[in-house]
Amino acid sequence: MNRVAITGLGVVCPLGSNVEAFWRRLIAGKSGIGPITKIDPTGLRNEEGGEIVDFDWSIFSDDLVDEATQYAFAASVEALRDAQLILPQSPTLPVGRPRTGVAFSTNFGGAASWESFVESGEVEAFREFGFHRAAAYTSQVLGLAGPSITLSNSCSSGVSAIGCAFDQIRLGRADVMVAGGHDGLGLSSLAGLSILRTITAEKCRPFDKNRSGTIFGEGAGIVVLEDLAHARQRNARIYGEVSGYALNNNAYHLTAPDKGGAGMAQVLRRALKNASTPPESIDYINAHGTGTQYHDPAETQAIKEVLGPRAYEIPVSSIKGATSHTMAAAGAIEAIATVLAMRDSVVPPTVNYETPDPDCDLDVVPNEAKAWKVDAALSISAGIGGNNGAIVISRWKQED
Amino acid sequence: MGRSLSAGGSKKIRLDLQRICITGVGVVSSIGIGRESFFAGLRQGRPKTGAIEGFRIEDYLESSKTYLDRCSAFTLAACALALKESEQNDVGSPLDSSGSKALTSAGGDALDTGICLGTAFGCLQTMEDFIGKVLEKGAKFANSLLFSHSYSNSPTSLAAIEFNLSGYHSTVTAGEDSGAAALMQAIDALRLGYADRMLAGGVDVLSAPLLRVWSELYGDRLAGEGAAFFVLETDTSLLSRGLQPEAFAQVQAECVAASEIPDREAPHVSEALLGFAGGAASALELAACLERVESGESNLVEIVSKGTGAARRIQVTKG
Repeated sequence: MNRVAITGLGVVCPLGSNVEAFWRRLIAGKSGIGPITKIDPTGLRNEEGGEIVDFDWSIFSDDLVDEATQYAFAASVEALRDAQLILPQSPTLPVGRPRTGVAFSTNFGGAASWESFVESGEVEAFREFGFHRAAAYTSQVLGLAGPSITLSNSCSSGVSAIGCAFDQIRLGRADVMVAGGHDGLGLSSLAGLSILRTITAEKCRPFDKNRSGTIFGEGAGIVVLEDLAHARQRNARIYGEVSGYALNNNAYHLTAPDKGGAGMAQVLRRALKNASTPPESIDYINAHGTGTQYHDPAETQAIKEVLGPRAYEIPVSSIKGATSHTMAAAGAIEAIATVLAMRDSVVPPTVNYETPDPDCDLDVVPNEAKAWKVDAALSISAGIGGNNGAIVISRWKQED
Repeated sequence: MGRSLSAGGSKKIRLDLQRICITGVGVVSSIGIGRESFFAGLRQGRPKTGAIEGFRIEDYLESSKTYLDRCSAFTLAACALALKESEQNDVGSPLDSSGSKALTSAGGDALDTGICLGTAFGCLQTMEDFIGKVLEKGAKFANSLLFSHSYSNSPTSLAAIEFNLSGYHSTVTAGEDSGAAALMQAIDALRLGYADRMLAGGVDVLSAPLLRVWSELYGDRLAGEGAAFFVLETDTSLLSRGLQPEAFAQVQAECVAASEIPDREAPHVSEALLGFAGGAASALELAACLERVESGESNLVEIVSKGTGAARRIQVTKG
């Protein structure tokens, strides 16, 4: 089956609305979390969140396009430019590629449009809310005629979309796939996640003993995946390879975490098997690390169970204290952080980490980035409903 | 847009990997619930009634539920029916309404079973009920039960919990193409060795918010709803259960360039009877295809689902 290269990256997130801004601030230990301004936060457990603040709205001439679609589209254009598949000065010029497809993911579709529809009843708002709207818009505007799909696997959605795109290339259905996740902040999601007490009233502190929940945000993370042979033929820059992935479900409870981490352990095992990568080859893990009381120790337990002694020898970080939890975008943004860690041989920090927790006793890279060579890494995601996902990203070597 | 055809003019999809067999089907539709009732409804051409009336989830599940969106209820019922039918193929395997006991090989090893569900609209009614209360009373009074049941992946997760489906897991929300895309993803998962057995299909329901915009979205198409789920298995899995793959209909799927698909109107056989059921339409049509191959009317029937990007072609064969 075809091997799958990563040749383009695009990010819109609270840390920055392009890849280099995001990465620079992430490595500097900055946080993109601040006061929520786009909706009235009264009654929420925390009036802070991860909002997009430096987005160039002027690139869209059509005001009706939902912001989540705009985030996804802008990140796609950045990723395709980065892959040198579209020209830098022609952000909406159709690329007209029959074997280029789209695999997106979202939890809430066009959340702002949904809330507008509920109040106004306008059909245009309903259309903009549609879960598949961002993928359809991106396919249509960019002329991408390959497979088009949207997945909604809660907060493991980003990894799910990248995995689905990986399969399309492996099976020879596409040469290039534009893949990732997107979500916009809305009152629906914040009110629901607040009442479930997933949101902390304080700071998001993944793996810290005093963690008390996460902070949600918005954005999009998009990667360009490409048939390795296709990428080599056009001398594309290759960031790395997607070696394998896995998805599963805890089959346990709709909202309660699987405290022992059995489902997550299973997904890690399967991802490694799918990637033909032994646990001892993994040298970095970008964890889901929400900062909630029960998730972080369960994820720690799963990592230790699958990686054995190797779990204590490698850095593990969660970037959610910096980016916020960007829902369906999170898995894709974290996969991009993993790729960039591989590129620059530096792993991002887990910000707001102060007090070690014996139940989360891995090297969680506290507060400052760490120089570290990464040749093979795992990026892990999980979500409401018991969804789990994991992806293995490997350094591409010319001689391979 | 999709349609079903007797595949007289089209090539049989290449089948050089695992054979994928349909070992169970569960249908919830306005012309019949369950395989036999649905097939009879197709044969008799029961009159058009888009909405499903008289559906009771307790008729299909042993355990009672505090709350279910209609989309989740249809999903659970259709999955329960499909799993029961699949397990009835097992010789000497005890029946279990959850289906979980039956999901073992002849040697007693647990089969790795996953689920791919397609839905265009998900749990829209619960979404509206949830945000309606928030807008009325404020975020502090949000209803956690409604919220946790409002995700479009809630039906998929509930099915995983109900039937112990801890394998490959995905919810597809690709508009009207959702059911076909979910079926294709499940077939891919089996071909790529991610699972031994997959439940796959589509579901969509009529809800107040959808009906408010129906005519603007779909004109005079009859508003329909329903669910169709299939138990798909590799021939390796079937052989491990002591079953012969040749006894079952087989299913294959591939992408084809949309430009290769004639853009002519050819409505689904099922839509003509039960209305347009959004992301469930392709899955319901596949169930209609199954009736045609199992009745001997044709030995190769296909559906083509043409959404955004490449079209998806799914073929059912027997014999």
